[in-house]
Amino acid sequence: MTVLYRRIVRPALFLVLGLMRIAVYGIRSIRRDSTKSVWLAHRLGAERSDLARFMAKLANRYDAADAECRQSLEIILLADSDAALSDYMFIPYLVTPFFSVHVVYSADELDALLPTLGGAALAAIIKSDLMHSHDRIDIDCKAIDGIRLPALFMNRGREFMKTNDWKLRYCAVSIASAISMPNWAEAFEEAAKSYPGWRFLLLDTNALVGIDIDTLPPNVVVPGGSSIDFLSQMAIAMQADAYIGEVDIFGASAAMAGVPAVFLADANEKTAVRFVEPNSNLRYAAGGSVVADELQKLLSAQNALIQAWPNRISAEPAF
Amino acid sequence: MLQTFKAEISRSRNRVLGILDFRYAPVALGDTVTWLTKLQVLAHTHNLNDVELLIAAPPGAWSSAPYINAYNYPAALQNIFPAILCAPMATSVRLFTTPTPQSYAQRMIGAMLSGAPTWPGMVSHLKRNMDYHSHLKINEFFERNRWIPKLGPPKGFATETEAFRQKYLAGRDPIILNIRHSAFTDSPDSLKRDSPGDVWYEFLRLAIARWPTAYFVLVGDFGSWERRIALLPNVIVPRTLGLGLGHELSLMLGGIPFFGSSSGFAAVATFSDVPYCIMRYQYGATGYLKGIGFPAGSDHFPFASNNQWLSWVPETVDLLQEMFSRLWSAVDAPVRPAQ
Repeated sequence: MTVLYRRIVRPALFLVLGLMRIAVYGIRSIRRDSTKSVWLAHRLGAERSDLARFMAKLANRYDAADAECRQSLEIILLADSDAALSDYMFIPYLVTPFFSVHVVYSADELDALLPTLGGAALAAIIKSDLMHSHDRIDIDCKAIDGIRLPALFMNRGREFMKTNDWKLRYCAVSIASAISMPNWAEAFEEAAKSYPGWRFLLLDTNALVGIDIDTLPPNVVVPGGSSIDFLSQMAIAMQADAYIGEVDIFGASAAMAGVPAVFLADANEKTAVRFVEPNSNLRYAAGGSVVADELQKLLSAQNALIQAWPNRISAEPAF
Repeated sequence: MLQTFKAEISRSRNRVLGILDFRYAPVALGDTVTWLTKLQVLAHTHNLNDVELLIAAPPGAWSSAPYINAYNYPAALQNIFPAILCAPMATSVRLFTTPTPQSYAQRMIGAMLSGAPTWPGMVSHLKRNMDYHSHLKINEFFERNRWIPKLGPPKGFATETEAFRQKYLAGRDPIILNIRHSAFTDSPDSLKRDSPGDVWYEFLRLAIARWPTAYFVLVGDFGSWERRIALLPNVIVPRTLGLGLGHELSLMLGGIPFFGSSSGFAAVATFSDVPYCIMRYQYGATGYLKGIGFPAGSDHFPFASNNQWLSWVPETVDLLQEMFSRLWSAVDAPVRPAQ
């Protein structure tokens, strides 16, 4: 009798209990995820600034409180253009390490996917998101909290600046396509004379083939040329001492991380992302010819801040 | 919930599901493209046109690669991801970084209940036992059909790749070059398969005079090439221009011939239409030959064309010149199956 219990009844009981536990746990997690997931859908745009738009939508939709509660993040991407899908896949790491991305390559495939995700209400949210994919996104930096890349990329970005020369100040630059290269080169050359302690880190989502790197002055460094990957370049924008350039993924990363930034675009222009509360850290400057002036102003303001530091420290009451 | 399950089962019926769960699957270029090719073979075997790729990449240590941990796994995923986009039959890609989210569980159950073909098979997946390197299924398919489904350029890299071609490769005869130097990287592995740098350097130096229009596009990890090779006038390194794996694959699968060591890039060439010559094939590798399905020493894969070769012995300068000469003259020759 004891042998029967030990060899057959007890294992069978454990098996049944185990299966019941798995079933209950599975159903619970399915119900939890289906009711509490945060959903975001986006149709990939061919223009370069679309990545910034996607990032801003994500930051507006999923905040630090969601991440704290381990709220599940579900993203739908309709990739029917030649946009750099690989880059979009990793932007969600900015808000959480736990997410799911469902990429479909056609509207038909999307129609087949939607009924598997949830009911009509969810399908309506997704379709509305997709329909408004290319609208301008307003973002308030003060309301954004918890934007941070995984430590590896932040470390790589910081180490790149440290190994280049740890003592220097770094200005991240994303070349605005509306401004010609000679204008940029002139601005960098002027900055080399006035601000020799600054280096300019030229960021690019991928190819720098459109830029003749050899003609750039020596105070310009190109991280992409040392195989610094996309997320690490975003980390550079987030940890630089200043930013100047386009309102793209790097500009948005810098602004959201609180880096003093000058966007070379009109605030009223239809850019992919608009910062609704520009503060002292954030400024728009329109027109291609102003790049040299704007760069000088930005560096001058930053240098003034840096030089004020010792006074500020000495003004603090001693412990 | 019942409705979504029904929809999932119905959707599963007309597609093949490819599962790449990095908790046990290898994070390597060659293994990834072999997996993709097997998936496409499976789809054709079942007369299905759609392939869905399901990638699981949760935080934590991934057992197939001891150097990947909770700190660096997103970088490993970012590095390999462009290769996942090389299957022309893929109609959707799903990436899960949460260990077991609802949509992942639902998708797996849907595939199981509908009996949809998957690779690896469901039992193998649950046992975390994936046949990632053998060519058995591919060879079987070739035996029956005399062709295999090939890889295509990854989506999302065409514009930048074309700009690179126009600016740097116009008027030249580009050759994709990969020299395996795992010892130079942060995660050295199978060092016997590494190529001798001196031999390749000498070959490339001699190639300047012998093949003056040949322009070698050196691909691979930034750490894995030698500076003296990259500085030669007939060599260009796309990664020094901010390009990455996606662009390299786009160049290669866009039709540029391949010449180099047996490596992940060689595996990409294997499952493509590009002319290639793979040097040092399987030299120093252990345990792989059984699954490759053809005799050691054969100078081509069973499914290769007449402009696609293998060389099994360690490289010498003379051998490299001989094999490159063969590849060079075959580039514009008519293509037919290898004999």
